[in-house]
Amino acid sequence: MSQNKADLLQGTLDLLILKSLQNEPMHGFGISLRIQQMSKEMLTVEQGSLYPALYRLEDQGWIKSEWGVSENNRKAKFYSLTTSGRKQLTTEEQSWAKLSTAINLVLGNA
Amino acid sequence: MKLLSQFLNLFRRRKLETEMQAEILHHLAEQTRRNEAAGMPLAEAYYTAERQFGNVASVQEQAREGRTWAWLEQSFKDLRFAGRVLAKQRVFTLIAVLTLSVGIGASSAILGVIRAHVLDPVPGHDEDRLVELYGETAFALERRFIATSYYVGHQAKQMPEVFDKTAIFFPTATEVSDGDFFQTINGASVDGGFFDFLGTPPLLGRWLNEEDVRAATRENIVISYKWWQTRFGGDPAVIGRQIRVREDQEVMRTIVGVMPPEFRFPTGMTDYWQTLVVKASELAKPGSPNYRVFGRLAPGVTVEKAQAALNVLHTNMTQEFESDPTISNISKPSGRALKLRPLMEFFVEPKVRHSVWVVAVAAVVVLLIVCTNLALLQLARGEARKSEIAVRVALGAGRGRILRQLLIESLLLAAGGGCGGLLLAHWLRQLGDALLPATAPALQAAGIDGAAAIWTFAVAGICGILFGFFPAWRAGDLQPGQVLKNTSQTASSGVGHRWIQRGLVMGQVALAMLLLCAAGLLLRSMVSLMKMDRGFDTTGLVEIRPLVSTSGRNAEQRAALTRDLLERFAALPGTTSATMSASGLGRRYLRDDKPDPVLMWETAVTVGTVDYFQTLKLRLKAGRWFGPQDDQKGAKTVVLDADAAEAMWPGQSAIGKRFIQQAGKSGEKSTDEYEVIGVVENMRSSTLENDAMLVRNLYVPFSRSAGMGREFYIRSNLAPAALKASVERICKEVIPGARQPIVFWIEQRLYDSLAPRRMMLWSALALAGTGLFLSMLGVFGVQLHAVTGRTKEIGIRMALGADRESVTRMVLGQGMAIVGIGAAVGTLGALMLAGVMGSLLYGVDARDPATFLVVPLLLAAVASLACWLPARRAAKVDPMVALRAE
Repeated sequence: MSQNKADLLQGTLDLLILKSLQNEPMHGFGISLRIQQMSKEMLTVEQGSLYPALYRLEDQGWIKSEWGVSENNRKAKFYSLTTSGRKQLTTEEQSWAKLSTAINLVLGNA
Repeated sequence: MKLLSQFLNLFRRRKLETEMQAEILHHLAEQTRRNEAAGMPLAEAYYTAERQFGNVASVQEQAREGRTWAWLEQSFKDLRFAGRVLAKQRVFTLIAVLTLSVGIGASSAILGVIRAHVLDPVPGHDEDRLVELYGETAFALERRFIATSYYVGHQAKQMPEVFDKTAIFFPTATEVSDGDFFQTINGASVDGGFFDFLGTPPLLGRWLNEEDVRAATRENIVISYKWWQTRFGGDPAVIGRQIRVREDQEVMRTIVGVMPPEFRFPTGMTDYWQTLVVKASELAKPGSPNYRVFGRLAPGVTVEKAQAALNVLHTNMTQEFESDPTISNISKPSGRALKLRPLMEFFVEPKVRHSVWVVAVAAVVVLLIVCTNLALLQLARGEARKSEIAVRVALGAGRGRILRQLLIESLLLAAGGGCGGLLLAHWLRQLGDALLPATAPALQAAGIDGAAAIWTFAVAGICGILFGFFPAWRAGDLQPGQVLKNTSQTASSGVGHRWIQRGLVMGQVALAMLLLCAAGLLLRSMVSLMKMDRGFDTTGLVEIRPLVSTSGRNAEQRAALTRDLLERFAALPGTTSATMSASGLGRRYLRDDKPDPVLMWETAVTVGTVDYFQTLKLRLKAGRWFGPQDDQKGAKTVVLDADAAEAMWPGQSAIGKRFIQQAGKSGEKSTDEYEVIGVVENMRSSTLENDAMLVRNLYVPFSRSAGMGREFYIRSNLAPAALKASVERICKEVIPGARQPIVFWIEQRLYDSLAPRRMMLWSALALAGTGLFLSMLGVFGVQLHAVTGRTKEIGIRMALGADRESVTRMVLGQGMAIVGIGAAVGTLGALMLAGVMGSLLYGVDARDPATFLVVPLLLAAVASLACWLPARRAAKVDPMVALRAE
């Protein structure tokens, strides 16, 4: 695993975004709120890096976007998982599990 | 998928931008709302939301970069910017584009000609396999006449294992009626395999094929595009039309096809094709060698194998026919070895091909000079734009970005030059086609087509990179801090910069020198050729060949006919003298005591009142010409030309020497002894200085020969049209069923044969002139730039006591020094490379001292002017103004 710090964070952000879209589509603002909620306020996504990540994921074809109306009757862009996105989510969850196990082992044996 | 969407995003840019804006705004609005709900006042809530979001601009940038190919977007922007910059500097752009157009256009045009006529004259064919069969022979005043008999062609047809395709044809002419007026047109009689051999599909209708040949009526003909346009006005319903033609009688012919305009075969003047009709006798025995035979080697057959097969055929023919009395001397196989030559040579003589390449190289050299000029200009402009570039570097532009932008500017200029060049090439195309004579055969047009256009722009692109890269590289290489602080001019031309400039100018001058030397050599060659001593007087001399057919006439009748013709020709008004000859009557082997006989061509000439010697104004080298005593039957005197005499008795005087004749190379010797009474200078009626077939002439008085006159020469001061008409009239009167005689002016023919050389000379001169002009422009520009850059220095010099003259001399001297080095390098290079041009020169040594002296002087003269003008400017510097100005 020779990813540098930035890559690690980027990959993690992707994972979080995909996870947060697992159940229902959501717009950008909502995604950042949801990640905060799901992590019980432990994670605050830097909102600036959210949108580039969203566009990147959309380019990869893992999420797709649609203009819709938000709860407050405003026009907003909603993102949802695609089929390949769901598959990617599973893959990334597994990678993450492996990674954390590996790191735990190292820390455990330090 | 990703790439595709990235590409498409280029075009959806505005939409994507608005969407992103909207999205971010929505985000900020939501966050603001939440902040408000948490108790902040509206304004504060909004600012906090913004802060929480982060740098909007940077986020947008990041998003943009991921979306599409940033470099492509940037390049588009650069392109637009470059366009604006160039549009503002109109003068520079105009000059640059014009010079580029000239260089690129010339190269493109030459390349088109090369492609069509030299590299690939027979398109779509396996060229290595196409050959021409011929028997080496000499005929009359022409040095080399490539032809063979129909018999040989027919035999080749029977060898499908050697030649899988053959074509036989010969050029002919006929008279075509246009109502009551008969006009002569050129054509060719072809066999069934002719059109199939070349493969060019007809524009309308069809080819002539084996059926037409079998029908043996010659009724069907195919016409050329040119004639279709001029005679029938391009009427699409021309197929099936009949025209009246006059050969031995008047007959009707039906047009069955029209060939496309690029089909100029066998010559550019061929207007119709008819079928070949041969007598049975020509199939059984070799007849006159009037035919051209082409063949395609069967797969797997090499040239050597084919030549071996031909050698076998020749041996068989010699055995069978050499001593056959029914065959005329000309048709006898011995002394006429059957040979093969590549078909390419039919289209382009190797020498012409060579000359086209030389012109092409010259065009490329001019292009290089153009690029050098532009590089100099770009360097200068780069200097002027230093502050602009410094600002951009300070704002964060990487070196690559600067390089890219400047390079795109150069490429835009180059593209402009490419368009201009394409137009120029199109216009030059017609001139380029004239590099080859109008009669030259061709199968495709040397036009500007898709491939040529692509090539032109590729060349333009390469030029753009050539002249743009280095200046762009240098421009990016600066320290913004220094540049922005320092605005004085003393630092403007760094030392390195000056040396680059000088180097480029030297290079230009050297290249121009190369071109000038080449052009000079060609010019001297041309002068030599035109002044070449022909051995006889060509002014007003006309050759007439009445083409009297031998059929149905016995020897006496023929002789009487020709005598009659001669009398009438001599009697024409305006004729100052007339004579008759029958050249190449036969090959004679002459020998004396030496072991090997010498081959010569006998020419029977008239003596007496219609004297050959006097009419053609030959020159005696030794001895005497024929007198009345030699004109009688039984006299055994001959006159030789200088080549013949030298061949028989090298180094000695031939006068008084005796010899006997021998039939064939190893035939029986006759007992008659002949005496040489005179030697005349060689007649050189062709301009080709190749000695492929030495025509050693042996002259005998006409009355002692068996035959009839073939060529008539008259010296006349009648106008060409009138003379032609009179000659034709006489021929018709004297010869029943006469064909149109061949009439040409010797001078005209010599002049025409020089046409390709002339064209090449003009091209070389034009290119050399352009090269000189451009390089001098470069010198002038650089010197001027140097002077303006050194105004302060000059002012100081003058203040310290230098007078105007010494300043002028200094600047002039420095300028001439640069030119001098460039010229020296160029001259050396020319001396080394001159050998390449050797085969194109005539009468001039490739290292001709006169040329290599005059040309540098010429260059020096022009260069001194180019250097003097800036020197004057330097002298006009007012030290007070220069020192004060900053």
